[in-house]
Amino acid sequence: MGAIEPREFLLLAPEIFLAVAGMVVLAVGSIGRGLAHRTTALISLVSLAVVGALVLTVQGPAVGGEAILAGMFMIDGYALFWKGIFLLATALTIVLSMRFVEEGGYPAGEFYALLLFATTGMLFMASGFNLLSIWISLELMALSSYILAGYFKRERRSNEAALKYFILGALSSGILLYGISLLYGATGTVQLTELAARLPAAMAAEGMLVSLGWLLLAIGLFFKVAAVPFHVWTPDVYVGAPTPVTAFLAVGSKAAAFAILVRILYQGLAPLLVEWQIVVAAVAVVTMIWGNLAAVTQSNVKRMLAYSSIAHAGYVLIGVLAATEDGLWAVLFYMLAYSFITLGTFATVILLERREYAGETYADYAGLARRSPFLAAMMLIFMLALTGIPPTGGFFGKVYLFAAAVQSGWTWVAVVGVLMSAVSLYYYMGIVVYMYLRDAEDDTPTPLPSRLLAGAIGLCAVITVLLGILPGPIVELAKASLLQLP
Amino acid sequence: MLEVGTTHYLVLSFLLFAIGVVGILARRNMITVLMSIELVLNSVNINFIAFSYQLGDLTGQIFAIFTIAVAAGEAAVGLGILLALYRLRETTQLDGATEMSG
Amino acid sequence: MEFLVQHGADLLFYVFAVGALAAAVGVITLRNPMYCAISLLVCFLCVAALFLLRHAEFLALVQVFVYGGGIMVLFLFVIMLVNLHRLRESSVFGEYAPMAVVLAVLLVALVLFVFLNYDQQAVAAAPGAFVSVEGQVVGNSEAVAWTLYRDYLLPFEIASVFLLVAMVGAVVLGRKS
Repeated sequence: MGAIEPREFLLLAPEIFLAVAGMVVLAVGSIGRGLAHRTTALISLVSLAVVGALVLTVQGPAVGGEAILAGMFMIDGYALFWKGIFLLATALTIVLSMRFVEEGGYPAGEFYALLLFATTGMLFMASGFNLLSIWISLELMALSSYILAGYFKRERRSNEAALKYFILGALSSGILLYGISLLYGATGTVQLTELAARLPAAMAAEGMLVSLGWLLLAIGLFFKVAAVPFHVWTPDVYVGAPTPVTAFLAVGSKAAAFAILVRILYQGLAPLLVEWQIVVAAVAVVTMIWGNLAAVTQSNVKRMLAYSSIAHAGYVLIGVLAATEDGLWAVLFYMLAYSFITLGTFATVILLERREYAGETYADYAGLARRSPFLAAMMLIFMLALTGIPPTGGFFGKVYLFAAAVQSGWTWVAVVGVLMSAVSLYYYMGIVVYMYLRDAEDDTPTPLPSRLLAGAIGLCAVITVLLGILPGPIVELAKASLLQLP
Repeated sequence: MLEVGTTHYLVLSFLLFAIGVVGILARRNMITVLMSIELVLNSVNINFIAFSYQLGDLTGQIFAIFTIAVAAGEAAVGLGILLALYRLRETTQLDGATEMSG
Repeated sequence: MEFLVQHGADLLFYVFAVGALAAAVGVITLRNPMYCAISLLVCFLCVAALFLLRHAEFLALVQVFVYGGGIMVLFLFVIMLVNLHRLRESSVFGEYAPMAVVLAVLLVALVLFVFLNYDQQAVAAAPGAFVSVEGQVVGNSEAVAWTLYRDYLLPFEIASVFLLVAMVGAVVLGRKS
């Protein structure tokens, strides 16, 4: 490996800019006490837009190029597609957080700075092409998330969420790292393409060491995407964390974990395809069944959404399992649609959460159609989309995923997916029934959200419906962003 | 058996790993749970060093440096969470910190 | 005497390995957190000695400085800050303890099986690799530095942001509000 050329650092402009923006937000937050809330949020949003533009202008033309910085950093369409999802998710999270952080009375600068640092980690994850750089970026994102989950430190539930997230997160990254160390021992490399090249020989010589290594690595990744049976942290963390952070974890962290899961399985562990397909199939089936059945029994809406997000991880794993181009772009399309749907759902929950933990039980949604027709209609769209009913993006997302699985011979897994989607109808429609058919205990109209928040919810809903009517352009985009399959 | 090779290091590292995992899952005091996390990360380093020696490759040593950095960062944040827990509940016991049903 | 010269390094391995294991068991079984911390320190130092035996001199130093110095002081500060001696621990282990131990024993059995089947070489493939840069003999620190700053520069930069986040997090969560 030769010396690094300056040109290669120019290609890192988006990531460097975002990290610097995080530091600026940190500084502004600590200087401007009173005005800091609005200013820091604004700076964060603007810098996310700049980063988006930089990704397109600087990294866009280099797509398809080699892995730069001594094989650490890959610029390909796949990475760019994920980066788009991450930036959109973070921007929407910031919009959702604004009133929440202000009313909580917690310092705003650090909050937004941590969000930006976590996003920096996610961008590096999307481009990571070496297990070391992937792992350290994963840690960057995870550490920021632990702090964000416990950010409302005067609230017991937030502290408990941080505690559980931290302990299980650290345990999972220990397991992941142990797996990496065994793979390194068996092959002598941590770079993904070299790993794939050396695996066949290593399998022949040290089969058991390799198997143990990739299994531990996969378990660590399943922890991060919250797949059953490695999901135990999810419900408590999602319920206890401040709701905007929950939205960020359910969308951003999950998407980033999937980005590296797919890249490692497809590019690093490609020679072990048959082995990991069996494991992924088993995990996908268990995740879908357990996530959906557990969601049915919940009485707390945030908890139900936590189990629903577990179930959705199962659906995405079906696409991963297919190991075909169709499966890959279905995963990309689904994660994009899921991001908007989930962020919209949590935004609505946040609006209802004005008073002490209201908006958390189903009863809080009673008569919402009368109290606030706008919110009820939005929630209806999101619930339809999560179930997978047309005309929403959720419908096409699921169709593509299941079709890819059927085509590659995993019909029975797809059948489980369809059946479990039917089960999910029960709990998603539960909310709709409360909103439209039950009468509220008090008929006071719910105050309309701030224009910004209403705009964010509306945007998510419009995109959700658009993806359900005209999925074509995004499908084309996803197809153009495929990983190079070996 | 007396001749020490990579296998010896692997066995030692896994025993330390298992002790650490038991500590994380079984101890009730948050501060010893944090120490157990450090044990787990340390055990991985032994693996990296042993493999690095056997392969004649420096990557393992580099990886271990990063593990140490991450262990330091995680310890700092973990102790921060612990302090917040103590201020809220006057305890560092984990079962005193749990109200949500796992 | 001859035996000692011939097998000195091997004997040292056993001494420090047993030390590390005993100290680790101490960490998870002792009741007083202060004793746990001391055990942890002993474990770290034993592991540092093992690094020396495997030609990772620079790393052994880092291990002593960062773990033995930094992290240990952090733990001791917090133990004193929260006055742990005032807090009575009703029992050391939680309800999951038996399950965790059974799980660990099963895992250890499985993994030992894998490792004992591992076809190892007793000697380093290329001991020179740890002390040389482009064919020239320098020293372990310099060899590590070259690899770190040339091939692994990007993770190094990411790690710097990671440590910044850790600092911000410790301040945000730890300060009195």
